[in-house]
Amino acid sequence: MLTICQREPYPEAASGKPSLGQESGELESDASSVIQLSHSLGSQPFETRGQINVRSLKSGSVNIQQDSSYDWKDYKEAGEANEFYHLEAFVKYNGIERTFLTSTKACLLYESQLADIITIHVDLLGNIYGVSVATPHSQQCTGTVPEFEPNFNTTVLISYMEHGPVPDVAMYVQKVEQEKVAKERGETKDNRSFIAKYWMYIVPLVLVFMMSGASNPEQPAR
Amino acid sequence: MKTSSSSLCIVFIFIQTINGLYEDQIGKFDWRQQYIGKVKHAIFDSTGKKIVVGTEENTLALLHAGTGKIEWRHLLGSSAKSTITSLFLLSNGKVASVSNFPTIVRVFDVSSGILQWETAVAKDIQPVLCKWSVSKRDVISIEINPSRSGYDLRLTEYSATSGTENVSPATELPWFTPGTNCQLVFPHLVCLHPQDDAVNIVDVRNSDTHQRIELQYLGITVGAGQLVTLGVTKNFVSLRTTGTFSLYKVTDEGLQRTGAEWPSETVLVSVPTVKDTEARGQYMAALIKREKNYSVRIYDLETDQVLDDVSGDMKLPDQAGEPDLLSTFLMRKPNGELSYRYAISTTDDSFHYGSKKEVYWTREEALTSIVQVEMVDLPVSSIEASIEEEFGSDQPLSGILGHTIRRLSSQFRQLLIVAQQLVAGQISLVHRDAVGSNSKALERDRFGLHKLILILTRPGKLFAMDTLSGRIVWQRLLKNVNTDKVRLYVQRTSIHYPLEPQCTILTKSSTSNQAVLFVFHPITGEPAQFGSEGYVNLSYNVQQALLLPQNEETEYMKPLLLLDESAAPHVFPPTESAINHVVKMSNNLFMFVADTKSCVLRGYSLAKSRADQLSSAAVWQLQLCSSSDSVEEEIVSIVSRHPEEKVFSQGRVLADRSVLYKYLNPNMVVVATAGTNHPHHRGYLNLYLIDVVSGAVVFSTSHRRVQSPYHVVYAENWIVYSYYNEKYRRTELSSLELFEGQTQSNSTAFSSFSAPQPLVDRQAYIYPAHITAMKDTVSEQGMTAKHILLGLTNGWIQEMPRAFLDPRRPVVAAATPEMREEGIMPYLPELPIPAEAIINYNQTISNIKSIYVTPSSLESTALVFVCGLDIFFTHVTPSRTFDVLNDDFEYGFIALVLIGLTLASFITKRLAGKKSLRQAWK
Repeated sequence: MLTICQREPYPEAASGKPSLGQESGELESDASSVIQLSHSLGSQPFETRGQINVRSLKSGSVNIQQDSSYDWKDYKEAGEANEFYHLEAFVKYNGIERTFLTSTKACLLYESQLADIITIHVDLLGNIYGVSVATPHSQQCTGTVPEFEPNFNTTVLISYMEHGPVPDVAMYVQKVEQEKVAKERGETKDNRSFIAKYWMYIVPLVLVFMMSGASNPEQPAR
Repeated sequence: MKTSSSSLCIVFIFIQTINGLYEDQIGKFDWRQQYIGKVKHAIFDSTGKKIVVGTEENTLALLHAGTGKIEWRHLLGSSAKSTITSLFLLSNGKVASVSNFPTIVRVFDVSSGILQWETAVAKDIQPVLCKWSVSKRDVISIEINPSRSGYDLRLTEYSATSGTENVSPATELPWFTPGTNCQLVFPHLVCLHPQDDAVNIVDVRNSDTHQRIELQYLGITVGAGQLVTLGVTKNFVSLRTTGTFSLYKVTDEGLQRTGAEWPSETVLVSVPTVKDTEARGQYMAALIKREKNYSVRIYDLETDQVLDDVSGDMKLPDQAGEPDLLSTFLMRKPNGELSYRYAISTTDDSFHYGSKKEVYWTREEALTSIVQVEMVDLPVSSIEASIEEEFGSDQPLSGILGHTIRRLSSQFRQLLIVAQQLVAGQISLVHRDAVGSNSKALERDRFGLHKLILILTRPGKLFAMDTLSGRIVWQRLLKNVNTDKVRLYVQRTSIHYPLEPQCTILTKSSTSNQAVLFVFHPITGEPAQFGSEGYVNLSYNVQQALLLPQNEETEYMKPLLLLDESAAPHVFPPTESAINHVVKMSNNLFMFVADTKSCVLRGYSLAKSRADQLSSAAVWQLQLCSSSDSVEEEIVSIVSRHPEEKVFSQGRVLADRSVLYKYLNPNMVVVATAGTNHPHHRGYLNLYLIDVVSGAVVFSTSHRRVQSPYHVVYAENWIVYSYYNEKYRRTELSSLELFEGQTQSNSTAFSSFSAPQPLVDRQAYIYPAHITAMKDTVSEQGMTAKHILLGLTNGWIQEMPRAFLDPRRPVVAAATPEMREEGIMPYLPELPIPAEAIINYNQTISNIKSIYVTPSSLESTALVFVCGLDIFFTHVTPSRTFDVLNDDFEYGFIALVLIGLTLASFITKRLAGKKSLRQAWK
């Protein structure tokens, strides 16, 4: 089975603040790449799984050709023995060759019925610095799965590095300016309570009353 | 009148409370010690009462010979590479120092420490050789530079009074070859090439005076493959071969041998400063190595004799290294006898001063190059120990009778201890001091504020310091180890009475590439019962070490897991229970190794380990940096959470009463890589949040046009990092905070293999100062607010609340009620540095390198140890001292009020009774 997909950028910050550039167009250079995949269950030797063709890192167009060399039973056994599923990725781009290794629990892969997510990590200079395999995160190792065809249902994601935050001086200055303008127009509505607004007048009044009361003590009534 | 007094009243009512230190709290729980760095040059002044020293930390200082105290101290430039290369005492009570990187000559007044003049020596190209000397009136520099026909020599004279420069024309040195070692004994330059068998001497003012003197002619026979080394002391040069040592006076005629026979064990020689000027240059002092200690010999050069009655033995303190600098002073006592004083710097970075009789004082300058600090708990007091013994598990007697006997005997013992302490005056009956009970005894206090600071230093010297006073409790120099890489692990704390606490140092052997462990008792400093005197030689080279977070059950020891070059794991101590503990945990044990140069990170799982053979298998591998030729990139920091950090709250309650759950991945580390993009020389910083169990990259971000220094702090679910922005020329602090969202995926256990993708909030701030160190505060239960301690270049340490760096601070006009409820402030791009947030008030800490924080047993209080050129210790209370009474709490007053109230209630009760009786009679 084959699925092509581009990774959405990381979910936006919870505060609702606009996050900074996460466009794939930020990449300084584009490259195509071929990623050879080989995998193994537990401590078995690596076998070829297939390859991912990345036509363009920038646009994120990828396709994957693969077939599971292992049997359904192999996954089941490895899952029961709490083995790892290892995936080795041999990446070639721009004349650079890098080998990455990634693993997940075999039982998670088995229970997701070989639905895995392969993420290709790319930094801002267009380097591939990691390839990682994962299963949909709601998976748990419970142990009850019906027999299925051992075909991978793979989602390939490209994860781009983001620009770091910068101090937002312009926004702040703009805010201060706006406030100034608003104040000049008298638009600012003071919604503080009466006491909060006029304490500076009330407190001296009260004090003056108290002081005058203390300095002219009333004659004790007989 | 009335209005003015009332307005004054208002002023007093509305004065804000300030969170700072009160004047009477100064020095109550903080202390500072000032250091100068490893001494490279030491010169006695003409009276012998002061010593001028120049150090590797590029510091020039004047020490008082009687006490060893610093009279004045100057940090000459802040570049990490620069050191003082030469130091000379001028005849007019001035001192000249030469620092390198950049080369600057400075002349100071010795008694006051006031700078007279300074000159930066601009160099287009680094000279092949550069030497400095002084004549009667001038500071002299010679440089040897390559020229068209070979090498030429340039002589520059700086007037000692004004610094005016006088450059002589360059003269050619046809005989000079690179690699030649030269010494300037003004006006002569003495040169020796290691492979040559002759010494070249030239008068630097006149190159025609070149002489070549065969070593043979100087009385030295050099065997094949032997090296001759050239040394210098004032106007003498020394030649040393493996078996001989000889000293020559440099004259116009050549080298003139002095001091007929110098023993080959002569380690160092020095021309003593002599009080009476006539005898200057008449004497020579030599340090000679004996079997165990050293002896100082004074030679009279005029008669070529050893002054036996003046010379004497010298015994350096036990934990001192080998001497590598000798400076001496000779004086004539009132009865006419000669007597000497010496100042010696040793390879353990300490500096000693003494006479024939004894070493008067020692300065521990290793404390300026601290590698790691651990604060360990002290053992329980003897009373508590006897209680522990009473309830200990393995007791021979049982049953009612046995228990009664045990109880009675233990209470009798406790009574004895109390009586002893009363007699010794250790217990004061009026106990009002909240901070630490008795400072002398090394035992735990109620609040865990009294601890022992274990300090591991670059030269391999280990110190234990008392937190209350800063006193060095014990010190130990590691023997035969190469301390380029060294780590300290606390394997067992002193909680597990009666088992002794244990610490382990992991380092390398000085002779081979293999790892060495040194196991010791942290409270006494004694080596533990392991290997030979605590040293355990391992037969492999360790590439990664991990102290397991949990104790094993039988000996309560945290096993140390070592990964060797072939990624095979080993356990220390190799006991059965430790190995079983590791095997039991092995399914959840992962280790990772990072190569900072190639940026390859590799994770290993220990899942297949069995008790008879531990094994590891690689589970993930990443390669972070760019491999492009135009880019230079490497890992600058890897930060994980404090291993003992507890997170009190799982989420943040928002204004609408929903909870934003924190992303608390215990396996995540922050890896920062920094690089330079060569075509434009633009720096960049990449930050990766990596789950080191699964190898997943949780988040990554990049900053362009930034420079070092980089500092990263990672705690709970947030990261704060600082960098220098090249574009705007300012330091910036960025803050990231990770949340799972409104629902928690798995509240009981976190699995890296089925982890959710976090939401990342981010914000950046401008910081109006330069940061040299950064650390977060830690508290015992994680309830106390987190503050960030920032060490600044001007010697301040600022305590900044984390709330200021909250990435959720919104850019809005004014605080809305929702924000107020949640406790977040509106966004301000620049962070403030209020004076009351400087925790070291006026105690400037020079050259801050790192900050260490340890929680105390009080939830509110954390112990802070700051080190740089100075060391500083204090307490911080990020959420104020909510769990202890203030220092100035009025015990007497509150007692008086209580007594008064009780009395008043009795009296009024009586009065009321009388009144009701009277009314009843009416």
